[in-house]
Amino acid sequence: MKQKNEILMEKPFDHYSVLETSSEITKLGEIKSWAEKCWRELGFGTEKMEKMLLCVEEVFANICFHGYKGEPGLVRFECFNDNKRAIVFKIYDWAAAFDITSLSRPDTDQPLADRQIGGLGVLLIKEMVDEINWILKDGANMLSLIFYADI
Amino acid sequence: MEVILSVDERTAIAAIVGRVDTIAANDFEQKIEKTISSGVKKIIIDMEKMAYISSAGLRSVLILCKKAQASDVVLVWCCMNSIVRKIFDVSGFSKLVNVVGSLDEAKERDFDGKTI
Repeated sequence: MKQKNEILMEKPFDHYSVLETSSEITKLGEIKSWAEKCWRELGFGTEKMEKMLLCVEEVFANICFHGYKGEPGLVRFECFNDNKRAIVFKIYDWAAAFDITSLSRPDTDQPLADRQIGGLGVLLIKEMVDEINWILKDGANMLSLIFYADI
Repeated sequence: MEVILSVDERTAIAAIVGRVDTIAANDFEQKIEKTISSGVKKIIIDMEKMAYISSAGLRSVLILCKKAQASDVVLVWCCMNSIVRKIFDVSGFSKLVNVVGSLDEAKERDFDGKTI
């Protein structure tokens, strides 16, 4: 848990909220309620909130099914604002290191019979988020999802 | 998520309310699948009140399209908001399935027998 304590030291923003949960897909409702509460408290627009919720869901599902491969594991969410210009979600997991932003775009031109569903979640995240960054931090996958304020 | 069904002899309208997320996708799939098997000729999926559909929901869409084809049922997707439309566009699903803008158009067009 050394990594977690180090992460907890980072609170340079005026709004900061944390949720720690386990990699069970049944936790999705709890996670989305938390993310929605953070979003509304910061006064961001409703349409973009749905994009944010979709991204948070796809990241969490990816961690559950592909990161921890259905095994129990810790997932940590942090939410903070950047002087009302953006809202940032940082999502940590301690599964094997993997940069989901490096995944290549799936072939979306195949006919129905040949369509593969793999990779669509990451594609949707990349299309909906304003910025996405991945780093390996003290043994944790740390994915940052950044949504700009609607002006 | 809720699926509100209204059915006449030949056509069913399934209005989706809320988010078709990873948890809700299975329920969504089962309810539409049951409608495909009910003997109707056309099913209109009204997405006006659908907030979004996740990749798990898109997996269900693929399965439903294959079942509709096999059952000779016309499946029509209508009234998408901008987020759902973007999801269908970037995933390539807009090119795979019958997509229309309005419920009236979905009801009136016969799609030349094109099931999806």
